[in-house]
Amino acid sequence: MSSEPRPHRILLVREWDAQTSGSGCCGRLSTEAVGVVAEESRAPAPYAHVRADMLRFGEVYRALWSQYGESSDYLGGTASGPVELTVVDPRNMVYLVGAIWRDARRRGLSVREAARQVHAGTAAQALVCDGVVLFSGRIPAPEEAVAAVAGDLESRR
Amino acid sequence: MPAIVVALVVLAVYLLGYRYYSAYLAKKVYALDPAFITPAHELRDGVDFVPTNKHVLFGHHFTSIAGAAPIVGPAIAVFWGWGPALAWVVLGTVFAAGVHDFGALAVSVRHRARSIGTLAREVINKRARTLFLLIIFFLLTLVNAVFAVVIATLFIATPQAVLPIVLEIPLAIAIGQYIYRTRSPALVPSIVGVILLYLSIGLGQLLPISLAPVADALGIGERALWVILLFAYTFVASRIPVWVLLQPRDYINSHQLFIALGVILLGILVGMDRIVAPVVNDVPEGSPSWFPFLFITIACGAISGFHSLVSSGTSSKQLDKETDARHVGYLGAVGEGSLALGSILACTAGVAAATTDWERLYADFATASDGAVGNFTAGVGAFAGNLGVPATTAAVFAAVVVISFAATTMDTGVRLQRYIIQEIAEIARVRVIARNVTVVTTLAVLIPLGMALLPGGGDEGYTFGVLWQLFGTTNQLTAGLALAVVAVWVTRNSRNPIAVLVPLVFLLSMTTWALWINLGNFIEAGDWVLAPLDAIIFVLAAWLIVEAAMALLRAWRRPGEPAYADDQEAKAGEQ
Repeated sequence: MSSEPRPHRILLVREWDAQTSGSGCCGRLSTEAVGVVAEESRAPAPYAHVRADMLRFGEVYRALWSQYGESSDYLGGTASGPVELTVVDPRNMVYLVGAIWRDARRRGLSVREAARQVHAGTAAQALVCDGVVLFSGRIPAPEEAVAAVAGDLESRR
Repeated sequence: MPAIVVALVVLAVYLLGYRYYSAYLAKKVYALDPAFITPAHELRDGVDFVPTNKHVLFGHHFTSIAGAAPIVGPAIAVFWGWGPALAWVVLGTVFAAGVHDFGALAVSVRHRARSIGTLAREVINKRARTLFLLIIFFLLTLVNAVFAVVIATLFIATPQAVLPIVLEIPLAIAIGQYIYRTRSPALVPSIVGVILLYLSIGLGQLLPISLAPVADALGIGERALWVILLFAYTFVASRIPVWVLLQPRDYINSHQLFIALGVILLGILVGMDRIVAPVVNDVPEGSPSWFPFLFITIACGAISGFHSLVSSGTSSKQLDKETDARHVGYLGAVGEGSLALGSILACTAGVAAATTDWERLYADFATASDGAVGNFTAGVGAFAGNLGVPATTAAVFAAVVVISFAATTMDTGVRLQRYIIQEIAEIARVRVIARNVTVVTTLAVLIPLGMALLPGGGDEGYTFGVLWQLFGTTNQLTAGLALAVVAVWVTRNSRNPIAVLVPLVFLLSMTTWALWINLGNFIEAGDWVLAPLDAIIFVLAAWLIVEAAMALLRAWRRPGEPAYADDQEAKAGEQ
């Protein structure tokens, strides 16, 4: 049996700038879906507001990555195991609900508390660390996100 | 034969296809390398390029490709009997769609996650880019036209579904306002939204809405009136910001997809319905023959070119390991094939209790194609009836699911078409079209509207299946272009391209053959709307065949050479 510790799962919940379900073949409604259009079109992107959120969450992602990514020296430092960063669309509820629930129960939260975390984690923007929602309904500043994750990981060392 | 037996056998074949054939593709054809640094890692930015767990990515990928199209095609195609329809769905999924979806993903990953349009230009030549643009233009036009007819047909067949669908609009808007304005979690409101939507089915049953009296007063067919109203709705819906209606409705639809799949599977399992349709139907004289028309009637569900748009440029940016392409791409195709299987079973086992009843529903091609979607919803209604839901209520539920998907398809399709028209206008330097959103939206709506209304001269002589087949041909041509890109790439890398060439040649042969036969039929019938359209698509098909053959020949003569058109031109420029 492998003795490797289970990775800490950090979920960055935010929408993609595309249609995800029910739209059939036209699903990925982004200018880039057509490729040729993306490079030259002057038309405003329909998901510009989501794009703005994606860019801001990108900063959070990169900050967390530089802190906990493969090339960082956190192992043996601030966390008790590897960290897995996953970006999930809140409409992917089959995965999201299951992942938050499992992580929350795994770290010993009660059924009621786990359900509360699942609920909070399905916002259009959320940051979840091992089943506990650190931010819901807003995108934290990168340093704020790193501090919150570090605090959560530290609290369980 | 019990539907459950067919379902289990097909699912077993899919499993074998994934286990063995996709493994062969991964090893010998696409040569996936677990150590290859994917664009998600190389260009990791946390925005577009994000290494993603393969199960999460599969969820995003599958929900993007699944919709109403893999339901409609098989529902029409069982006209030739469930045997040919099922055979094409199964063989197509395993040997064509899997190769195509997986291949587009694999090639894109090896080209910094570029989209298939850009890859066509790079791997084949610059003309392929223009060809791609034109095919997509006709594809989107036909998508919008056929889905308007699908919804109109369902509204007429199931007037109880009108009110729930109308109520879904304010419901989705309310959910959107709540989620986005109050920044609240979406789980509970979206579930409440689904529950309210299904509760409104009861209201719809109390107040069925028919436009027949209005249509009579206006002197037009009811379907034509619905189509006009639907495009009026789409004109408005596609102009409003996506977060107002389109995105919140997506939250409802994401639940509906899994609910519908669950109902079909559980209903078949519990009810043990038997297939009453013949294996091969003895179709009336004068009907289109299954060979080659079956292969363009079922596009989505057997192979769909649109999937290459999702595989490349989007999913390819999130692939964690190159080897995950097999899981995401091939299994995505299998998921779509499973939807097509559900459609076939609903239309052959659920919709009728006896063979004679079924034969009335599929008496001729016009009856079969016009009633196909209604047959699917009635079939799903019967499956849901096995679970204790009243069959009439369940049929309305199925109609609501299909219409919700089709309406979203129209909304997204018109928006996407706007970009294509603007792009073409930019190329043609027609600035008034390229820069004016109202003009371009009007064009994006009027072209498919005309196409949906004009063929056959209205309700009387209208055969929906013919329009659907034209949609199928453009979808297959898109798949042909993507397969050509994959085949050239595989050949250039000195690997055996036979697994890609077989579906490519088969697809292009069937498509051009069917287009040629239909061209003759349209000219003979004096159908001067569909005849030119068919002729244009035929020319595009011929163009594609020439480009693909030339590119393959070049790749075969000079394997290993990075002969991308742009690279060569750049080198020439440097010299």
